[in-house]
Amino acid sequence: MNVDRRTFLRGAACAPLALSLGRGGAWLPGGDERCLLVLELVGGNDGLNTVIPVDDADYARLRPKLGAVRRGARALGDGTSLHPSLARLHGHIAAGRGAVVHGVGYAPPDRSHFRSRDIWHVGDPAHQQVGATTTGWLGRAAEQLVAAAGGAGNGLPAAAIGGLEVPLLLHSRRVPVPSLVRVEDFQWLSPGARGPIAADAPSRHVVGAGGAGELLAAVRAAQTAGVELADGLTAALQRYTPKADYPDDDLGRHLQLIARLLVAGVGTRLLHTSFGGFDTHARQLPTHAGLLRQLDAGLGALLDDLAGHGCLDRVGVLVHSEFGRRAAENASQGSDHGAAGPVFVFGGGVQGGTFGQKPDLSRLVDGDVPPTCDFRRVYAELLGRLGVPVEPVLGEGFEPIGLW
Amino acid sequence: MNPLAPYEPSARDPFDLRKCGHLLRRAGFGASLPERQRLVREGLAAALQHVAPPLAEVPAADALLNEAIAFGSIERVRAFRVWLALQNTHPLRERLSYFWHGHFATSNSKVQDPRAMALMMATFDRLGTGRFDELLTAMLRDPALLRWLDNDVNTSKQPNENLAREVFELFALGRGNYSERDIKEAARALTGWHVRDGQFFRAGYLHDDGDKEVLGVRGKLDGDDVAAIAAARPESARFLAERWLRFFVHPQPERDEIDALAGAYEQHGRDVGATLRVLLGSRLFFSARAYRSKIKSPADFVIGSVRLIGGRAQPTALVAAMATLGETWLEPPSVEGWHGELAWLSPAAWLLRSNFVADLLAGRRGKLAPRAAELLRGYTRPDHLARAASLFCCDGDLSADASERLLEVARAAQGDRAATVLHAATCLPEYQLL
Amino acid sequence: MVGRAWWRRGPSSTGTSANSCARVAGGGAALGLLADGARWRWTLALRPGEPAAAAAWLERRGGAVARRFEGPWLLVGSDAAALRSMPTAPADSEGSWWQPALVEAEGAVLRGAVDLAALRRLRGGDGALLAGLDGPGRFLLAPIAHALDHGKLLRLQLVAASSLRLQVQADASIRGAAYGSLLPAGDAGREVPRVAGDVLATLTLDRSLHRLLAQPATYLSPAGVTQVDSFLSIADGFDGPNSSIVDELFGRLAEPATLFVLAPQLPPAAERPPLLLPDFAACVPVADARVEAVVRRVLDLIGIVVNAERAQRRQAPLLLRRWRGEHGSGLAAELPEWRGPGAPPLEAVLSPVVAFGHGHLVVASTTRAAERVLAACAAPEREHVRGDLLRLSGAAIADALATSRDALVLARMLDEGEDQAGAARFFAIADAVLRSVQHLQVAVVPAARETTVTVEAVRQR
Repeated sequence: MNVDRRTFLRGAACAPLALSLGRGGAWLPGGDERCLLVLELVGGNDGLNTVIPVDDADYARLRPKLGAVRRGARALGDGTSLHPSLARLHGHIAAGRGAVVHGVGYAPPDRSHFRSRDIWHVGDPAHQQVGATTTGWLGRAAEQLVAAAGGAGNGLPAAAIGGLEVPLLLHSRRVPVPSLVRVEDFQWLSPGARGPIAADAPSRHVVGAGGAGELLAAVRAAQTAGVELADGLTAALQRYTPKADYPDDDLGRHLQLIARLLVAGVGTRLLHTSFGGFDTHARQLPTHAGLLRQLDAGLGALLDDLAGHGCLDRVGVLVHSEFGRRAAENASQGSDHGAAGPVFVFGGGVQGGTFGQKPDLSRLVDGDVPPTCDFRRVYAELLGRLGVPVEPVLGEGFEPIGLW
Repeated sequence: MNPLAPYEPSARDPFDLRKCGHLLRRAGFGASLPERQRLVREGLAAALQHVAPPLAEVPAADALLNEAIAFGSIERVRAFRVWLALQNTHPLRERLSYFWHGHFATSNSKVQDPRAMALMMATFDRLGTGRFDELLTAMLRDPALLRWLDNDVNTSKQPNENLAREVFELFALGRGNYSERDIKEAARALTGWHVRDGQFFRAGYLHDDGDKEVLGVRGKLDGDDVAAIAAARPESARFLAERWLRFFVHPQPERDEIDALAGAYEQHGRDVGATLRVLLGSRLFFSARAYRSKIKSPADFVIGSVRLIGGRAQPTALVAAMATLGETWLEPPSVEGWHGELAWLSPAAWLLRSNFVADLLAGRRGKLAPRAAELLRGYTRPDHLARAASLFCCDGDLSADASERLLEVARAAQGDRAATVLHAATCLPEYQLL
Repeated sequence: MVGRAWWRRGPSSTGTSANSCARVAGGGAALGLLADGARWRWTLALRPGEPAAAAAWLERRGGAVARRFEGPWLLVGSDAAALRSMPTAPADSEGSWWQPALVEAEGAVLRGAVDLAALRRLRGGDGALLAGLDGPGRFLLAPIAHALDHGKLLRLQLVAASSLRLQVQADASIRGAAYGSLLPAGDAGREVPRVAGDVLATLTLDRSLHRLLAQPATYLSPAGVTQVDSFLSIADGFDGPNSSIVDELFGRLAEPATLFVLAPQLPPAAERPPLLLPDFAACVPVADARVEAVVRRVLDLIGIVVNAERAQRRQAPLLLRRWRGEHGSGLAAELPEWRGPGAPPLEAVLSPVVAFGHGHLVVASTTRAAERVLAACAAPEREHVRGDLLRLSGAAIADALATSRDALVLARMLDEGEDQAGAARFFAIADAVLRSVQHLQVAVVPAARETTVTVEAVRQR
């Protein structure tokens, strides 16, 4: 099929669409819409050994063995230092592209991995039983984004990356959120070839065809948007060349897929991926150092890549875990489930440095660093940055922190 | 005029391929063109008999149930359900089990017991075309449902209202037809209605055996009584009638249609199968208002496409395809089941539908027999190819514009032309409609 | 050069084509394929019965190919470059692969050689196979992957006698490499228990899991190391704070580990699950008897964790009880008796057990399997095993499949889309094939300088 004919078809199909979609071009490449990535450290990351209160006299006392990590840690300027494995992320924070928020959590803490992850995902510590109608905070944010776009969009406003299951935080009752392992799933296939893109896929030809009727018109609108989505992703694949070296591990691959979607500006604005293994009850030092090294390499590459493509400014990255760990180390050179912990927020325009009250180890509650910042205030901050109204997603009363 | 008056084919309004396709899609999971052509020749009565034969005349759905649950895998149970739908030995039974699964929407994500899920579906197969009060009684004793709605922690000391509420709101009556007091009392009646060793267990010592009053009926009520009381209410007839109309006929039924179907339900002794036979033979069912008034669910699309092409596809792969399209059987998104209709057709989902058919026709979802080329053998002229594809996929009923597009595809097609044209036909907006 | 195959003339036959074959290549022929960028070249080494006749025969076929005589051999190449690539130096240097192929042909029906170095050049880069394997993959397959990564030549030989034997040998061995320290010194082989009765499969692996866990960085990729660390972060806590699970549990076990898959005991039909698993039992020699106390403590803890999880899923708890058999004792978990609806589940026949006896630790899926393997540990008979060995017994596997036939047929219908008759036919054929093979065994022996993989199938007599 020649170009003229395709253009004609597209034009013919789009004309009635502009009315029904409102912001029909929202997902077109080069869009300047802000996006959010939530990177979840699963297992309970040891916050006190990630952002280390090196100045606190009690730290060495509580952590005679695990405290060894403070040698080689990099100062953040408020008496805390970053784990030695996080060299690259420290550079981003120092350069004003990343922030640390101390003491984020909720009270009273729940020490079950499952329950605490549910609370972070739902965005409500009071939520009791996760049931079929439970929605996640990003899922509700996706509903808001779709509503703001006049009930339409590219059909892929949010995605879970890297797993088969869609995590609770992306559950929505109105917006279907897929999990993506390969971006190729959203390309055209023709009967003949499983090529990345089939320019002459028959499905493309028939878009816009059909008789009268409201229902057929709605179907046509979805189909035309599907053509745009496929073309947008296809163009994105062709346009994207990595501007950083990603590590050859799962986290690296997932983060690179995320970069491809973000750089393309295909309208997928909410993303989640997870990285596990942080449940360090014994022999923590080598394990934790290895995990943070992987995190540093993967996330460092993503941030460099996005900056290289000039789109870090419209991306926010939240790094959090379901809880921190106990202030005192255990007898197995590890640490047990605790309460609050630090979170990281990266992105262009973030005021670099540390926020909130740094942990005070002389004032523990039940052996834990108590939360000094409700996790929903961080969410509120990020929602504000996305332009999503906070209240329908989180409820009332969550002041943003002022990271931007 | 009674909307349920029987449809009587005439020269002006014949029982043709459109109507036959409509019946087989709505009361089953579709059928191949030769089968539809045969039923058109044999006439409406034969077609109605085909979708709802006497149960005794078809193989039991649970012949392979033990083997299906042997693996302890929910994926296998899911594939088994898809396989049953593909067989479609009793189209209406298979369709009704799909309906009841959405109605008593129970998810393995919480139940975590593939066996219990498989047995629940088998209960739908067994009782789904019979009397609703019997089905409801069985469901209130169903281990999967009891777990799903937390009734296994509903005790006389600490009543849990979850099941009682859904019985009234979602299963039998609908909002506004019961009071909060009815829920509290029904929850008491359901105390001790528990599960043990994977089976219903009446825990007498946890059951509140005091007097209760549910929907005006007093006595030492238990779970069976709750089912019987709720199913006997006149509101229940209208509630179910509306659900059936939305599922089988039109997403927005009119009031008189609901009243008529509720009346038929009462008349036929509250027998689901008998009521639906009336509905499926009615003018309303075959009306222009009903035709192509719904969006195909992923199950309709995936299973229907395979049946239409006469394929021999791998059920396991079809389960995966349905999941990417947003429908995972035995894991509905909520107690309310799937929302359906336009929610199915996000732009991304439509793209995935198109790719599914591409995969299917290229033999990547299992060995298809007959292949597309054989299906359309004998058609070489582009206009014949396009017309054949339209008959295969769209009842031969396309707008002039759509026919024109299909013809253009047929003219431009190279290589496996039959596959290209069939794929194009399944991408038409008309094909997305049920 | 990528692939080479050697052909030896079969029993002589009459006819002109057979005669010309004898004249041209009566002593055998070896074909070589070379990849040169995108182009393919071929070479042919012949040992003619009548050199003069062979030369004349080639002459008649035109001058499109290059050729020359080399002693008794006639060398042919698709062009001059191909011919030049066939050096005549002795086989043990870089040189001629085809001379030994033609000389050492005794007994083999087919011999071949693969130029691994060239193949790697084609794929780009050395050491890619081993590096690409994940943790379990490396543990199992490292000797083979290393040999393919570092060998120059892979020799194949197929021998058909009372059995059909394919022997593949690469001229490299993992013994010299860092990974080799997981293997026992020397390749003299080991003695392992010989289990009597129906054995579906035996897998013997001679590796030190202890060394792997103690120094994961020596053997695994960074991601694998992190996985091991994450595992140990949790596992190290099992036996209290001041012990090392690596040294005090894994360090007190010896090698080699052997996994036996045994024919299951058939329960009465009414209690039989539609899918009946065979029995599994793994057996490891004990180096230090103190391991027994550690294992018991760890099992107690795991029992608590598992039961907590089962309680969350509202399943009845497992009962951990002391188990004492004729040849050993240990801890067994008892599943609650199945009283539910429908046929019994897969796990209804399990009675998982960890037991010690006669210098061995046995982990088995049923107490009966543990008893059989412990009895083998107690008996004086041993089987001598070199390297890694996998042995499958056709008839025993066929019997095991037959007990679960209906469930397997359904699984095939669901996974392959076949109808019931088609799926049943598939298993009927599988049954016949399995029953025709008495056993099939795969042995991997990394010797000092070379690695040999032998696949041998013995027909049912």
